[in-house]
Amino acid sequence: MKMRKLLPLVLLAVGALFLLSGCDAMLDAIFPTNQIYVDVAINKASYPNDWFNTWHFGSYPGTVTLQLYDVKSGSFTTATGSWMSVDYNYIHFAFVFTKLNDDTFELTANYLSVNYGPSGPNPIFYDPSGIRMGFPVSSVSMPYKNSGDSTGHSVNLYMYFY
Amino acid sequence: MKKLLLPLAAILLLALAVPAAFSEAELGIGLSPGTVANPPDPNNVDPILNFHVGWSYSILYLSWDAYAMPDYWVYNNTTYVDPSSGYTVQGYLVPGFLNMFDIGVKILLKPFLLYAEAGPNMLYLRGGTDYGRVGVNARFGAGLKFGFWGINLSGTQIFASTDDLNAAIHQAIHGNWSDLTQGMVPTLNFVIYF
Repeated sequence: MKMRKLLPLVLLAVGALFLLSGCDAMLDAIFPTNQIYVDVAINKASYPNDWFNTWHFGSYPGTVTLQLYDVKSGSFTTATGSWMSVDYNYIHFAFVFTKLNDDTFELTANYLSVNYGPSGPNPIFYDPSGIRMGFPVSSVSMPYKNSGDSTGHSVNLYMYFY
Repeated sequence: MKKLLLPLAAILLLALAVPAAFSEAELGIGLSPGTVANPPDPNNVDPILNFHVGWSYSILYLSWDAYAMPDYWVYNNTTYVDPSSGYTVQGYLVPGFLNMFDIGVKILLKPFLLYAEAGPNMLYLRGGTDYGRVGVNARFGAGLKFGFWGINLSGTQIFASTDDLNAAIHQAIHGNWSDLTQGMVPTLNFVIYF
């Protein structure tokens, strides 16, 4: 019977819940939609042997480790990737982090070259418009309004190991 | 939002109008397997979350359930072929709440619980849009009630219109339950009663 005394409170909760059901913030919380794409490029001039092996033989055992730090929650996401493509100036490593909340994220990259040893952390970061991001820690707040995506929920970052 | 507030107001007024001894309000939360929404990657899918509000008077049962549907489900269910032109009209690729307002019966044979209900549903899209078309849904559920809390399993079938629902019921009466049960969304509900 004590539970019945809570009925007015329940009704209030129902009303609040109902309003929230139409609230975009709640949908955003359930379905985080932000995503960060990162193209990490290794410069041919600085790592000529790495580039030569990749360009001419199509195989290269070096790796890039990219760490995403969620400032709000204090959580880390780490991804290690192999090369994705090579052009005349760079070896490219592609990363994508999806289902991210509206928050600030710090990115830290390390490059491990078989020929030259570990490099980094922290190459030079650029956003889609060519704006250089912070150094030594690069942070991006999502949604990122200068992302080239009208909603700001998707951002492409470019990182260069010179 | 105004469309959504009217059914809620009706439920709340009914809850206040009758003696508490004969009525029971309930709040709940439910989970459905994410695979029922036909995700693009079935191996990487989250369960579907839903919020439940209900009220019963004797065996009369009114409820509102809001299912948080992912963007690909919304897209699939708002994309259609225009009958006049024959062209496919692309849907909305945004998440949304599928709000279901149902009326039916709930039978409690302690601790067992059975219910069946049907009613309209409306889709709210992120960005403040109510999808114009009103669908219909039918739900069957069974579970256990222990004092002020309970757990039950329900199956919800969503129809595009009342005609589709009537046809499915007609088929079921004649022994063919497939239209009524095929594609049914199972949900595990946790409910608190007041």
